[in-house]
Formats: sequence, C-alpha cells, structure tokens
Amino acid sequence: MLVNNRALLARLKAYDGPPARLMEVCGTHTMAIARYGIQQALPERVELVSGPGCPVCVCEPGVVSVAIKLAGRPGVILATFGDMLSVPAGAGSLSQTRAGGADVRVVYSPAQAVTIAEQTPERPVVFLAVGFETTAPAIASAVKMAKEKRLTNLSFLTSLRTIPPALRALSNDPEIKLSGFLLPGHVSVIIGVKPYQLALSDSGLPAVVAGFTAGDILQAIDRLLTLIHSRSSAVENAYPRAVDFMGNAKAQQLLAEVFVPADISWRGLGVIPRSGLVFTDAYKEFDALGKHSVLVEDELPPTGCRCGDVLAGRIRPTECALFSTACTPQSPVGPCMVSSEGTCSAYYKYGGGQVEK
Amino acid sequence: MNRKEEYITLAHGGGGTRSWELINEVIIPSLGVESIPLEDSANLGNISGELALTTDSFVITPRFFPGGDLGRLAVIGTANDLAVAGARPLFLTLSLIIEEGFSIGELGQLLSSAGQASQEIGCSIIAGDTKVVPRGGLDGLFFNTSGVGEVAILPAPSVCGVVPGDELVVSGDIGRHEAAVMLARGAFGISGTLESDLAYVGEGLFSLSASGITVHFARDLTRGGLAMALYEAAISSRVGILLKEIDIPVLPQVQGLCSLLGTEPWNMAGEGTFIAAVAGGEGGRACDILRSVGFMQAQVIGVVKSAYPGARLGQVRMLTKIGTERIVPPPLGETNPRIC
Repeated sequence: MLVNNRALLARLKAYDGPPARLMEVCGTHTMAIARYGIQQALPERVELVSGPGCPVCVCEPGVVSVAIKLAGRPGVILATFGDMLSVPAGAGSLSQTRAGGADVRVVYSPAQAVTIAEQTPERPVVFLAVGFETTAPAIASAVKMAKEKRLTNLSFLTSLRTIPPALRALSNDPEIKLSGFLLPGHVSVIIGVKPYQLALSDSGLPAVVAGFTAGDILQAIDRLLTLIHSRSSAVENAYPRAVDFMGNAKAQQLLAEVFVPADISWRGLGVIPRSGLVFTDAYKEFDALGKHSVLVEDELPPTGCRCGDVLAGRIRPTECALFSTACTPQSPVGPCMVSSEGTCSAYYKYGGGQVEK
Repeated sequence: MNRKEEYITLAHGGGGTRSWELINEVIIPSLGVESIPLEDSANLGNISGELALTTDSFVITPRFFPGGDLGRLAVIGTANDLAVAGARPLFLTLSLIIEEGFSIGELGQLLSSAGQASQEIGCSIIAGDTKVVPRGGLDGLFFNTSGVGEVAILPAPSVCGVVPGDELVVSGDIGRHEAAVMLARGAFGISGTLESDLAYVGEGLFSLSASGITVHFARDLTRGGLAMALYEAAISSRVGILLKEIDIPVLPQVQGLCSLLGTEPWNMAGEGTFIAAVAGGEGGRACDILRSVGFMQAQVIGVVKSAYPGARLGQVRMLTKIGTERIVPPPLGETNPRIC
C-alpha cells in the first residue's frame, strides 16, 4: 500500500484548487480516517469533517428511554445491538437497567431476536432496532420471519433512518458550508448511486462513493477534489468492486415491503422530512410503540453535551468543553463518545484525548 | 481411589483421607512429579545469586483451546513472567480451586499438561494447595501458580530501563492467543483454525543476553497487549515510542477478527510473544538471534525517542501504512474476560 499510494499521496498534498470542506457520513469512514491519520496526508486547504454517520449517535434519546421503560416491565426481554447499551438517555442507560435486574440481551443480528422470541413464547420480546439502510434490510427480514412464524410476542422498537434526505438537509445548510461528500460504501451497496443524485440536485454539491481501506478513501478524496476543482456537481462511484449504480434490488424490495418513509428527528439536525422508516400497514402489528402503548417523547441533551453540533459538522469534538474531561469512553456523556463509530470516540481513540488545533 | 468417584466432592478439599487420596492418586501422578513425603513447606536449599518471585491466577474459558489448555497456560504464563524479568524459572507452586462436581478425569488431564510444560521448561513444581468450593461457587476450575527464578540477565531488564535510541524488537506475531480463544468460544457465530501462540519465551531472551545483546526491558504481551506493555515502559522510563505499523507482524485472521470487533491487534493478548527494548543498533542482530532459536517472525517494530512534550496519553505513536503519524492510545481494558 505504501508504495502504490505514493503518487496519489503526492498529488493530494499538491492540491491547489479552491479550499474544500469534505464531509463523510459513515462511522466506518470516521474510524478509518482517524486510524490512518488521513487528515495529515492532506494539504491545509482540504478539511475533513464527520457528519451524522453513526446510527447510534443520531438516534433520539427518547427512543432509548422507551426501551428502558419497556425493559423494566415484568417478563420483558429487550434485545439490541451492543452499541446501544451505554447510550445515555433521560431514563438512564440500558446497561444500568440490566445491572438493576432487567433482562437486556445483546444480539449480533436481528434474526437472533426472532430465535429468542420463539424460545420464550410466554414472554414479550422487544428488539430495539437502530440503523441506516445497511441494517434496515436485516431488520425487515426479521420482521417478515416473525410474521411467517406467526410470533405474537415479538415487537420492534425502531429508529431507522435513510442517508440521502440527511445529505439534502446538510448540503442546503449555509452554516455548515460543505464542498462535497464522501458517500458511505456500505449504504451505497444497498441503495446504489441514484438516490444521491436526486438528493444533491438542488445544492449541486459533488460526491464520491468511497470504500474503506486507506487507499479507497484517498482515491475517493482525490476524485472528489478533482470534481470540486472543475466545479462539477457529479456523483461518482469510486467503490465499484462493491457498489452497483442501481444498488441491491432485492434489499430495496424488502425495505419497500416492510417500511415506508416518514419524518424523523435526527440528533443535531432536527426533523428531516421522509428520512425515517416506519412499518407499512401490513406489518404494523410488530411496532412496539403500538403494541405496548408507549410514546417517544422529546428529550433535551445532557447539559453541556454538543453531540448534536459534532454530528452536523458544526464543531470538531475537541471544541466541546466536555471532550476528554467530563466525557471519555469510560464515562461518556453523549452518544458520540459511546459508540465505537462515534466521531468523539474516534478522536479520543486515535488522538489520545489531546486537544489538537 | 475408588474408581466410581469420577467427580470432585467437597470432601476432596476437606483435609481428610479424601484429600490425601486426591493428592497422592490424582495430582502427584498426573503432574509426574517425584512422590516425596509431603511437608507443610518445600525446602528450596541453597541458591546463590539474585532471585525473582512472581504469581498469577488463571481462569480461561474454554479450558481446552487450540494450542493449549489451562494447565499448560498456568505453568508457561508464570514462567514467562520470570523470563521477561531476566530470571530462569527454578520452582513453581500450583494451587487449585475446584468447583464441586468437577470431573476428576479432566482435572488429571489438565494437571498432566501442567506437569509436562514444567518439565519442558526445566522447573519443578514443589508445593501446592487444593480447595473445593460448593457447586456454583466458581466456574469449574481456577489455577494459581507462583514461581521463583534465578536472575540470569544482569542488570535485569526493567520497565524503568528504556532509553531514547533503544530499538523495539517483537518476538513474533501479536494478539494470537486472544483471537484463538475467542474463535474457540464460537463468539459471533464465527469459527476458525487459529492456534494460540502459547509458548515459553525464556530461550529467546536468554539467547539474546548470551550473545551480548543488551536487553533494557522485556515484557510478554499478555492482557493489554503490545500497546499496554509499551505504555508502561514509556511512562515508567519517561520516554516516547514510535512504532512502524507496516513492520508489526499480525496474522491475517487476527487482523480480520480485530476489524470485525473494532479493536486493534496491539490491544490483543498473546501468551508466547514478547517485546524487548535492546540497545540502539542491536535490533537487527537481535532478530537474527531470535529467528535462530525458533522465533521466526521476530522483527524490529519501532524506536524509543525522548518523551513527546506535553502529551498525557500520547507517548506511544505509530507511523501508519500511509506514512502519517498518529497516537496509539492505551487500551481501555474492555477486551474479553477469561482469556488467561
């Protein structure tokens, strides 16, 4: 890699086009950029910022509070992905609830929730399902499985989002001042390239789909800078070995069968029209909110926590007063320090918690 | 012992005839040690020179894993702690805490592995203890070993002895034990063929010093992995460390598992791999010597520098594969429980 990328690195370092602010919207990109020190390989006029790429981070805290409430009800088994356990919400965190005796189980795939529900027919099982287009098809498939098996004790507390509407909102925000996007490789495998073209048509910002090795990311940045330099508003695919222009038709079909778009609130970005996924009428019986008669309420973020500004690319983690002082991976205040894909966690992990300028 | 007794009972830890039978008919024959009249203490006789003492407890799940088992681990783990302090292991103690209902057959198997490992290393198991706790009091079987060694590398390598200019030599690929144990548990529904690196490292270290290499510091890369070992050295010796990522030996399976878990190989434990800080300019020769005694992947992976100014957690850094420099943070200690 060192040898193959030498010419590319030299070209990037020599970039003399207009100053560029490039946003990635994928937790895996956040980590890879920090891990490989990619910002350092770029000239000062090119700035990388992280956007709302971590599903755990953008999830509204009210959903976590509902999960905690349901986990506390007698007999309930609450299953979720490991990252959700330490997310702080108004009602505490799921790991605290588990320590207090609630049956909270970590699963690696939504299908495991179906298995749990089958094995414990006498107990209500709630799966807290948080994710983007990458996880949503697996969740849709688990919902379909539950319907086929006629499981009446399993429901899904969902907080699912789609990336293109968020890109549209970010690209039109004058305060954030972006020059282009590095598009998430994994999401693109599912949705293809076309939805980005539609979402970015009014702002005219260029964007490039990027893979996840250091070389993939450097190459995508190089192509994005070329587009910016030539004032192009194209959307390109620099990850063709995994991403097809039309995406994965089967997964898209599955999503369309189980979910419909709905307005949803993103931490830091507010409500974005049609950026969420909720159950279609045919699958409404699996919605935990209806089944257990609970409501998601608005919650204020913890005092001083600026995760919202970090997620929108308004500030860097190091500009938050809590970063590495009151908020560390050992005792996180906000979700961006909790999740292994969170921007604050990436900064802390690979920047040692030092304040860099 | 009555052949029908296949499981440990509380009576086996009670100090009466059942205990006596367990010791004389299972433990001593399985270990393969000389049966001598049992006193309350072992007499070590006259030993000249400096001595080193260490102790460790072992609680791994599963007890049998690819590349070793709990018995072998308990002996080699303690012997390695002596070796990296520059001491040749002479004597070990071995204590057992056993859960009621544990299989005597399995106990015998683990003890004979422990006995065989001690013979390979050339140290004797000379004292021990057995306790049995009621069912549910612990998960199966815990071992504790303590070891006495004679310091053979002088001055002894020390966590405070690293100086700027030293070269860092790793004896083999890192993180393999932890990765193998996780795969053996079938975690995340994945399996693999990876074997633990469990091995005694003493011959590597003693051949370095016998060939005139100055070893300022050595540490076996157990819990906390390479990153923690280097942080301890950097902080105790007040130096900075710069690693070269591309030179650190990591098996592809270990790297793959790390990517899946969102961790790094330098946070993962091995049980037969060590890092040594050798005097500047001696790194290449140290690798040649290590390779000649079986540490085929030995590699210079970094250099010691003056402490980086003002960096609280940034004393260990890395040149990445693309040539940028970044901090290697100390591990948070959140990796997997029950691996050693």
